[in-house]
Amino acid sequence: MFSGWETPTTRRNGLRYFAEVAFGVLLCFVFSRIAKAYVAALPDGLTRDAVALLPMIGVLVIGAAILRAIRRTDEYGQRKLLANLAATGGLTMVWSIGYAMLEHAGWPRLSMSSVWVAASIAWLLCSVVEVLQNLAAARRR
Amino acid sequence: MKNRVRELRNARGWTQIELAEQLGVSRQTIHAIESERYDPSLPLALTIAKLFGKKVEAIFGDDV
Repeated sequence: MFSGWETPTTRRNGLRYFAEVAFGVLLCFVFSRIAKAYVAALPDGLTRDAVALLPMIGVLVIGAAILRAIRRTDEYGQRKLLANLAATGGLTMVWSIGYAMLEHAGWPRLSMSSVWVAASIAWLLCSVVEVLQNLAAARRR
Repeated sequence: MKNRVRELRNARGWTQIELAEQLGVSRQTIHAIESERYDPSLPLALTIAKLFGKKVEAIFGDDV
C-alpha cells in the first residue's frame, strides 16, 4: 500500500515545510540584497533602519514555517523536540557561562551572536544522540 | 508499559507505515510505542483501541 520510511501525510508535511522554509530563505536573500544596495545611501533615520531590517521579513517567514511544522508534528515528535530543545538550552548555557569565565581569565572576547553557533552545535549533538538511540533501539528489537 | 500493538498490527498484516497513516501519527511514533519506549497519550491510546476494536486495557498494561 505505502512504500518508503514515512507515511504519505508525514512526507507531504515534510515537503510543505521544506517549501515554506525555502521561500523564507529566498526572501532573506532578496531583501538582504536590497538592504545592502540602499542602506549606505540613505540618511540616518527610521527609513534607513526599516530598510536594514528588511531581511527579517524572511526570518519571520521561516519562524512561522517552523511553528506550523511543530503544530503538524504528532505527540511523540513534539515530545522529542521539547527534550532536544531543553538539552540544547542546557548545553548552550553551560558553554556560554563557561566561556564567560574563560573571558575573565584572558581569553578573547566573542560576539554575542556566537551563542547561536554554540546552540546550533548543541542542537546537532542532540540530533546525533537521538539518531544513535533510535538505531540502538531498532537493533534491540 | 507493555502493549500488544505489534501483535495486533501483525495479525492484520499492516506495516508500521500503514498503521501510522490510519492513526495520523508518524512511523517513528508507532515504532516507539511497539518497542515500549513511549506510552501514548490517552486520546491516542483510545484511537488505537478503537481501530483494533478492543478496550484500551486489553492493549495497554503490565498484564497484557
